[in-house]
Amino acid sequence: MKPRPLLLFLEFAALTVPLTWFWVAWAQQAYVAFFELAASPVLGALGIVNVADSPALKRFVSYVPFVVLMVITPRLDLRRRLLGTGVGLVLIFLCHLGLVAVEHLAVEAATRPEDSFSRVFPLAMFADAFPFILWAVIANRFLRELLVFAFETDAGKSGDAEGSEAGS
Amino acid sequence: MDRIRAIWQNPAYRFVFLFAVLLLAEVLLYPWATKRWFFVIRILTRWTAWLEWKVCDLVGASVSLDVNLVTLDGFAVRIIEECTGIFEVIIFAAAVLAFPTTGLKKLIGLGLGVPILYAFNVLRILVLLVVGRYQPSIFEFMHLYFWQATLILMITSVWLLWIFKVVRHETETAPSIS
Repeated sequence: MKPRPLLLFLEFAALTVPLTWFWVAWAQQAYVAFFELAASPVLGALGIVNVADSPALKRFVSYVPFVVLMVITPRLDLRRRLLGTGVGLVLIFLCHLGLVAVEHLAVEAATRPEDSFSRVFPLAMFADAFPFILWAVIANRFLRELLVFAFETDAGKSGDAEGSEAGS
Repeated sequence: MDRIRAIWQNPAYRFVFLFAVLLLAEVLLYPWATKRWFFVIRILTRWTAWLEWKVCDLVGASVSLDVNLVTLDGFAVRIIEECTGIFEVIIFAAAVLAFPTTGLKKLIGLGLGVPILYAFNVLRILVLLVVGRYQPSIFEFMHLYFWQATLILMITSVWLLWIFKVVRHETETAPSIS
């Protein structure tokens, strides 16, 4: 089946706007409170008192693009969609925890602001790409359809790309 | 072993694995490179700030520029490294390079994709400047929305555009897949 990128684009935009609004208005504060409680053993050991001051806070919104991608991906069976979303949310939480810890340690160890930035950069970058990586693993069938579609020639169109492999 | 081979033969998993490896290589190289050639980042931030200032100036807005600080009618935005779109470019480059296609198509992808992502980024900062000046109450939402929430959207849109218009188009005209 032909992937419809424009439809996905519109669905993504239509869902991320209200969810980001909800995140800023309410969920971010609630999540920070939950995060501080759930991660208290690690945060306590590192001497992190207040996560709300962490520069990593602005990356906590990464739940939004991940959840939206999981919702809009076509032909993903319900079990995989739900289970994948659940596992993804836990992994994103762990990613946030790692980011906060590395950021805290980098700021403590650095003598110049640019030094701390270079230490945090790899994980910050990873945190930015993480929702996409998670989605690509969970929704690999859709990704495979996309690959098949990209390599499908006019002469060799199968009508339904599922199950076939991309030439590479 | 057979399971690992089966996973590797799945092009989607192979893409994800290569993407992750390339991304890791890029993010490890980046701090080293910017430490060595930090002037490039300085030029990029100043150029981005100048571009924002120029666009606002061209439409007759009351705007000023002080190195990398752009002020629109009293609302100031400092252009830092993260505002240059470099993060998006790094993720996009890994996605293009990991995709199973020819070197030329990857080069076209980077050559077209990087300026498009940069243009998106300039537009994003312009929107934030206007919102910050005229609707400060929704600035935080817009900042998060046009940065983290849509970062993936920006990258995947340009990446899909490349797949559909360059990779697929050229595949259709080619006699066979190599």
